[in-house]
Amino acid sequence: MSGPEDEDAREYVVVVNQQEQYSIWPAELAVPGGWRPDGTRGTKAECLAHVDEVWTDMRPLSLR
Amino acid sequence: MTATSVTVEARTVHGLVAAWAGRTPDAPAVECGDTRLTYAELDDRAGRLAATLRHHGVAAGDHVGVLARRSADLIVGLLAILKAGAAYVALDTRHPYERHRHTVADAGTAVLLTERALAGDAAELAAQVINLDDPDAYAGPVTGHDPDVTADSTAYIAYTSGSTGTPKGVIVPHRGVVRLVADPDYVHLGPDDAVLCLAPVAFDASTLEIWAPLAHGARIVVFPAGEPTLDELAGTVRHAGVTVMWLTAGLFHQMVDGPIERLAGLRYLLAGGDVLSVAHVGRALAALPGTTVVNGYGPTENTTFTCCHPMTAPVTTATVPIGRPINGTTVHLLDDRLRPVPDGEPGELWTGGDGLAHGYLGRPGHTAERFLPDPFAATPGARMYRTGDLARLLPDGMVEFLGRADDQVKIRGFRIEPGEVEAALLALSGVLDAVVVAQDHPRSGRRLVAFLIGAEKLPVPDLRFELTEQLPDYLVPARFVQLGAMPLNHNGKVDRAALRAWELPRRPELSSDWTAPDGELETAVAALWADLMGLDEVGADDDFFELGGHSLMAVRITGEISAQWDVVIGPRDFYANPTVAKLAALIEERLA
Repeated sequence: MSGPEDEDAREYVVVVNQQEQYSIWPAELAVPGGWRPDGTRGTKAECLAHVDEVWTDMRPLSLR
Repeated sequence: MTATSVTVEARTVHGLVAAWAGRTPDAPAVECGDTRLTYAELDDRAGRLAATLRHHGVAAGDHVGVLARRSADLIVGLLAILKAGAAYVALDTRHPYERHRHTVADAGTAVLLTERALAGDAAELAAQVINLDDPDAYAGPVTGHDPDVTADSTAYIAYTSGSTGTPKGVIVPHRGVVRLVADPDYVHLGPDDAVLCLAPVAFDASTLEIWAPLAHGARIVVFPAGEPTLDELAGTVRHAGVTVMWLTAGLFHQMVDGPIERLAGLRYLLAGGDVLSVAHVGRALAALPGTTVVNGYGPTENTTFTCCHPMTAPVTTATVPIGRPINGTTVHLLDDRLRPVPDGEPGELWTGGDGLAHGYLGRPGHTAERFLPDPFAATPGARMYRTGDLARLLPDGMVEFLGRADDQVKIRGFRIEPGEVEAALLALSGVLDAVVVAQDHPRSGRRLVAFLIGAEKLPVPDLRFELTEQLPDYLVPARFVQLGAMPLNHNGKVDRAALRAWELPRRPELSSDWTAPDGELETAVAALWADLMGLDEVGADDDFFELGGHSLMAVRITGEISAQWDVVIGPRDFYANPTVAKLAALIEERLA
């Protein structure tokens, strides 16, 4: 979904949980428990492009 | 906002069914027309078919396609796929072949379960095809044990409209289905219940219709293949003793306007998929004193239902609330910075819990955009899904649905991303720009209207025909309007609001009363006339000349008819049959 423009222009970080599921999170907010930043920071589009590259096996870790 | 949290252990959907096969082997499990299967028979047949699937190379974690009409065998097939440790990918038999091809390729299905009548199409779609109505598929013994399937394993992949132009597969794990059906708080089921199975398996209401009864030792009443009339539906409810039924909003409204009293045996009438009318819910409750009417709400990404509102008394609010989160589900109404909005204020509806899908098959970026860390969850590392729906909390704690935060629309319960239709239109030759919106027509109801820019005058019947080859009918716009330029708003973007309000040339007042086209052929002929005459709608009994038709238009219509149906209708035939209904009848006669 294309959200409001300011939402797309905001800074995000790429985060990953124990199941090695990836997501994005607004850089201005504290990262929720159980998630760790993978070091990528940028616009929403940049973060999602990074996720497209690194999240190659979308199965939760318990299924791999 | 949190519902009672249930711990769903490592339970599986087929595990729930197997438990009843052990407990009440002789109880009726599935009926369809004259076919009856007990729990023991269902379990045995599915076990044999699972062995056949494994013999064809299906392994745990695989995706198996299903292209079949409603039947008892279809239920056996779905259970067999789960028993084999695989996930089912349902193809809607009403969809065009091109759509199937995309789905099968996207899901990577090597094996397809089908029926002999459809096997011709199926042969081209998968390397291996097994016919559900072939006795050989059940010939082998039940061999081997169920492979290691956990609550995280995929149960099915449901394809839904994608804004970027292709449908996307939602990966639904066993946990999601178990959370929907094992201990539901929106409906109470027992072995004496009978649940109607009417929804196509490709539509996620089928998750409820199939697995809820089988998880409670109840009976599935499969409505035989084909589109039912309201009377046939009501008749089945009565004759088969159906106690629980789901109807998509549009069908629910029609039923309330029709033979609703004949549903008096129902304990629960669930409806949703689109906005329910307060008046119709009130009339349903009045007509069915012993029935609970349930408004069921939820995106496919959170396994069929997210919120439900069971009602036994008429609604006193302006809209029908979607109620509260179901068992194992949380709902958060958030602002655009992911902060909860104050009670009563509109916010975007996010949902978490055991119903969450794993994401979109093969689309990690798109998954990450919609499934975010859930900062409200007790479990570390949990996610929440962004529905894109706007809602607010009512003073009594119920959630009220307010609409969409984006362009997605619902028509006849189908979830539609206009972007998908736009992408398909842009791929057609001569189309330079395309914007698709939903309009509410006073008589025809909500429908898609495509606004197009073309280098030259666009041949609308050809565009319609090409789209029909690729898209399911609910994605094909009802009307096509060619513009010189798209209207823009002050930001320089296409003004969708202006297009939604755009008035199409009205059908003139005629001497005949309005009759809606009936059946596939009449509907297609009416669309052809409307396309060529540029009218908002054409009725079955409308006279060609009264509508403003002339001889040149008649030549184009007969030309299109011979191209589309391969029948020759001469000018004299046309003038002698100058209404949609008469012309359709003539085509039918010539086709016979």
